[in-house]
Amino acid sequence: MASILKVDTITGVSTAGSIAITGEGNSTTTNLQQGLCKVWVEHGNDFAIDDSFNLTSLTDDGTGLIDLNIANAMGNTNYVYNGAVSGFARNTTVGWVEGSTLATSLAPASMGTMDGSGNVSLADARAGHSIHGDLA
Amino acid sequence: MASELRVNTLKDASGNNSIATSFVAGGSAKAWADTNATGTTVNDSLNLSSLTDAATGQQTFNFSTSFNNTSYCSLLTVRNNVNQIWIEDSNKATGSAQGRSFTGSSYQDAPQNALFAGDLA
Repeated sequence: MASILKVDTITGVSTAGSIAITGEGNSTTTNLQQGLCKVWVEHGNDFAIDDSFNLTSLTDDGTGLIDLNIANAMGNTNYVYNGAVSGFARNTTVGWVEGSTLATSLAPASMGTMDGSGNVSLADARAGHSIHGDLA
Repeated sequence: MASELRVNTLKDASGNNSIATSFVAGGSAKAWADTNATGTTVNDSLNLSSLTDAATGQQTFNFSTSFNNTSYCSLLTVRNNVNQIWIEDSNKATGSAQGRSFTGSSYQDAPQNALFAGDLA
């Protein structure tokens, strides 16, 4: 029987921030809150936001350097950042996060191109970023 | 009191923003990990039983609950480095996956941020 649940907030019974959902194989469970993406953004090579979730803004820190300013901060700095760069033909694109200045409400991402010898040049690029981890 | 809720669709209280529970289960990350450079410490994680320092620049993520198959999606980013990075296909299994960081001439240790999505067993 089809069913629809209408709610604004879902909270665990035993622990408010922990709800188990059954996996696709029907034999295991995974944690709902921890599996959800907490921040994502897609931007153009002008660093204008195309779409985003839980982001207040992007800060242009210079060529190839951008700060993700997080609306609802993460609980710690041990979150998982992933980024993918696109838009450069003929070059290998690279993206990484600067751990030295990373904070619960700030993820400093870098991007650029890498030539055949492994030399990297910072460059503005269209990119997508995501963050998984624990919210504050 | 423990409880179980079985529904096909979630909506907000106004009846908007509908999402099927299949998207909630299928769209959630099933494992992730933030590690140190040498692959000896897991700073935070989901569904990870342990981390193995396989070799310089090579870290093996061992899942607590395995995936249903090896066709799960893997993402890898490193902190502070601009190395070539990838999930090693020859070492990808339902219960583990290995992230590698390479300078172009040799493997190099780097803090790894790994994310896995797909079907759990």
